Order: sequence, then C-alpha cells, then structure tokens
Amino acid sequence: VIPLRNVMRDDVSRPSWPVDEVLLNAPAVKDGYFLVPPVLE
Amino acid sequence: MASPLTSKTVRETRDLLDRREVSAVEVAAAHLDRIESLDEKTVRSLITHTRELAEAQARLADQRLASGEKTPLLGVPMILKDVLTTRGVRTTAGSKILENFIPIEDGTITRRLADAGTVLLGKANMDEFAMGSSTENSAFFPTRNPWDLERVPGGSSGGSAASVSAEFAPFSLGTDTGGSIRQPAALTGVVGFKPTYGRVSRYGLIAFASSLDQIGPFSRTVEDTAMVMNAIAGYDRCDSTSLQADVPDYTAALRREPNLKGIRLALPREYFSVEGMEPGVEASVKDAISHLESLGAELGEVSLPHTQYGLATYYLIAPAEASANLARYDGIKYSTSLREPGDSLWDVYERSRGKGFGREVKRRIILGTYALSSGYYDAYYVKAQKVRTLIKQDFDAVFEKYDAVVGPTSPTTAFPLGAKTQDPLAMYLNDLFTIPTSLAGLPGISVPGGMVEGLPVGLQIIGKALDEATILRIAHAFEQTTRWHTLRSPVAVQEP
Repeated sequence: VIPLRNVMRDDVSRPSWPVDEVLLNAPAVKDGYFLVPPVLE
Repeated sequence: MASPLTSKTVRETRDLLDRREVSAVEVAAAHLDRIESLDEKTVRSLITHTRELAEAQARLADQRLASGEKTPLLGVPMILKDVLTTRGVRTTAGSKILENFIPIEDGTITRRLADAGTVLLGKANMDEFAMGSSTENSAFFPTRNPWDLERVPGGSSGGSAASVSAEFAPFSLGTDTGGSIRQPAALTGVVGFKPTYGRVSRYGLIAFASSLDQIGPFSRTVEDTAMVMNAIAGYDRCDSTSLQADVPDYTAALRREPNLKGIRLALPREYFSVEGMEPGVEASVKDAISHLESLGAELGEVSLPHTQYGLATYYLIAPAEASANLARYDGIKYSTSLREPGDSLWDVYERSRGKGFGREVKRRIILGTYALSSGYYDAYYVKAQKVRTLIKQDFDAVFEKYDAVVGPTSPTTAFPLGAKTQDPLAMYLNDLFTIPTSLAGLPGISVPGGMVEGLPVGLQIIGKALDEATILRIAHAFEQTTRWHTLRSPVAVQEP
C-alpha cells in the first residue's frame, strides 16, 4: 500500500556505556542509580 | 599584503598544508586568534570556544600531514552548531535546560570529521533547540549579521552561518529542519546545503523533528561544500533513518566548464510575486535565473500547487515531533534540574522544564501536544501527514520533466534584530520557500545570488532525492560565472 519496508538488523548485542559515564550528567545519583524524589508516598 | 590564512577556502587551506607552506597548528592559531579578538565584539557566533581541543587536533593533523597523508579535510578548521554532540565539550542546543550538559560521546558526524582530521574551533550559537529563523531564540544571546550588526543572521543555524561569513572558519556545520541551513546562508551571503533526508547520519544530533532534521555544511564556495559532503555523507547503522545508498564523489560533479546545456530548470510560480516578498529580492533572483539560462539551462514555469499549505503542515508535524522528542528533558537524567526539599517527582519536572525552556520552545511543545491529543489527532496530525504527501507529489510531478527547481531561498534579506520577535507568524514566513523541500525530504542549496542595499540574497536550487550532485553542479556553474560569493562582509574584512 505504501512504498515502505521495515529495516531490520541482526539481533546481536553490542557493548553499552559504563554506568559511571552514563551517570556523569545526572543531577543526583545514589549507588549507581539516578536519584528521584519519591513517586509513591 | 597577502590575504590572511583566515580568508582561505577549504581547498586553498588544504593546498597550503600539502605544500607545507603552513602547518595545521598555524592555521588553527590564526582562526582562534581572530575569533578571540573579534567574535565577542561583533557577531557573537560562538557559545563555546574549544582552543585546547583545537590545538591538540591541529598537532595531530600536522603529524598525519608529515607522514604524507592527504585526507581531503586534514588540518582544516571548522565550527559545529551547538546541537551536535561533542565528547567532553559542553553541548547546549542553545537552551538553559542543557546549559551544563557535557556529552559522553561524539555524534557520528563529529566523529567522522575528527577522523578526517578537521580541527574544532568552537560550538556555534543557535535558536533554542533549532526553533527559530533569526537566532534570537538562543537562551544565551542573539547572533548578529556580519553584513550589518543591527540585523539578524537568520536561523536557526545563525551562529554557524555568521562564523563562515565573518571568516572565523572556512566551513561549519548546521542543521536544517525547515530551512535552518539555507535561510541563514542566504541572509549572510554564504553557501548553505541541506542534503537529502537520510543522507547524513543524525546520530548525536540533538533531535527537534526527527522526520525532517538533517545536518549539512556552510562554506564560502560550492567546491568546499562538496568536499565536506564527501566526508559526512553515507550510511550509519546508529541512525535507523540513514540511507543505504551509494555516495558519489561530490567534487566530481563540479565541471570546469560552466556549461548547463541539457539541464532543465523549473520555476514554480508559487515562489514568485507572493505577499511579503521584497521586490529587490525577487528582481535579484530573476536576474540570477536569467544568468543560469545564459549558461545553457532550459527554463520552464511550473506549479507546486500545495505550496500554500506548507507552513501549516510544517507547524503541525514539526511541533508534534518536538513535543515527543523534548519529553526527555525531565530534570532527572542529564538536563538542568531544579529541585527543592519536599518536591514530588512532578514538581521537579514542572520546575525544571518551566524554567529550562524558553518561550518559543514552550509554544511548540504546547502546539505539538495539542496536535497529537486524543480527539484532535486525526484532524491535525494525520491531516498534516496527508498534505505532506501531496507536497511531495507536487515535486515528483515536476521532477518527471525537470532536473532541478530554482527560486529564492528567503522572501526577504536580513531583517533588524527584534523586528519579528513579537510576531511568531511573521517569523515563520521566513521559511515559506524552504519548508516544502524539507517536508518532501529533498536536497536544497542556497548560494549567494545577488545584493540588495548592501545585504545578500540567496538563490535556492532544489534537487531530486539523492541527486545532490546535479544541484552542486548547477550551483558551481553559477558561482564560477558570478562575483557574489567573492564579496566579503564588513566583519570579514575587519582585522583582528
């Protein structure tokens, strides 16, 4: 119907970023996680 | 006195480096010194200066040159729009919300240019998140036009355009979503090129409207643009919209003989004599097109009947995509976060986004959220997508008989600062002739095509999808037989 097709790649895992680099720009961090205010009281 | 290193084109700089008449370190230093002494007190084209990085990259380039390497951009200095991520170098997108954002990796294009041996001088000012046509929406300061400091350089890539026009760098990169490369190129008298959508990887480009955004170069000659395109075009697996198409050598498209015999050019009647178009601009563009005819091109008048719906279509699709893309700035992961004791998560979102985004960005997020909202989605977003297809079909029909479309880039020359900031609709009209190309995903170039009362006029040439080579060839033939690109802005001739 439309001149488009999906572009697929092989499902192969690649290395991702080290946690400390991912958190480098985070405003608040705790134990390797993003720190957020309480969502549930 | 011989012309300074900062007046050289990319090609000339390369020749000097190849002949060992100068080193990359000297070329970089000449540009850095010029920027440091002039930018702040004239155009203010840069948000961030990267002297240390530039010096390190120039030293590396000299080592590569010494080993006999001849990579085409090796040792050439350049400036990136501050929407392209640079590892370890602050990247703001012109926004307070990314004021302190330091990317942990280079975008694909930043990486490719670094690998090619270019030297990054700084990051260019822009309208916040690339939303604007004057660079006055920058959260930091407006950039000024090197031809008249009381006027805007266009936008959103105004800093990138002004820096090349002011001779702070022989080339820069910008991004074009609805005209943000071509319009500032026209207003500052330089070459600005928007490639086919998907031709250049967007990985590492901070997204505005993902179905429209495309990276492209500014330079002072068409040949330089072709050289930069050779370095940045091509498939990238990190961008799912990147095209797996062969990339030609764009410099090979440029003929020594400025002969356009056999080239058929379409003049859309909707691009002339429209309301709000300055008569001087129209006259200049018509002269430029007559000149193309004198080089052998055949001209024909055509209609692009859905042109009048371009702006409305764009201002539904682009804000809709922006409202989704900008949801990521939440004050949690990496953007500016304004937290107070006792805040709920929602309070952090509200305060961070409320203070972090400027007026135009908020306007478009609201517009886009509305266009996508339940009950309005079909009437606005889906309808806009349908009109987008009609606009693309307008071009398809014309390209059955013609090789390229020619017309003005912008309806006016550079306007005074503040002239349109209170009237968003007047500002949006700047992109009347560039938006349809973006919606259709086509390549377009603006080249210096005339002067009106001391201000540059841009000639726009639009090509078939993936046929960048033809419009580069036409633009080059025009440039080789006119003098407009040799005129230097008042800031360019200023000595540091």
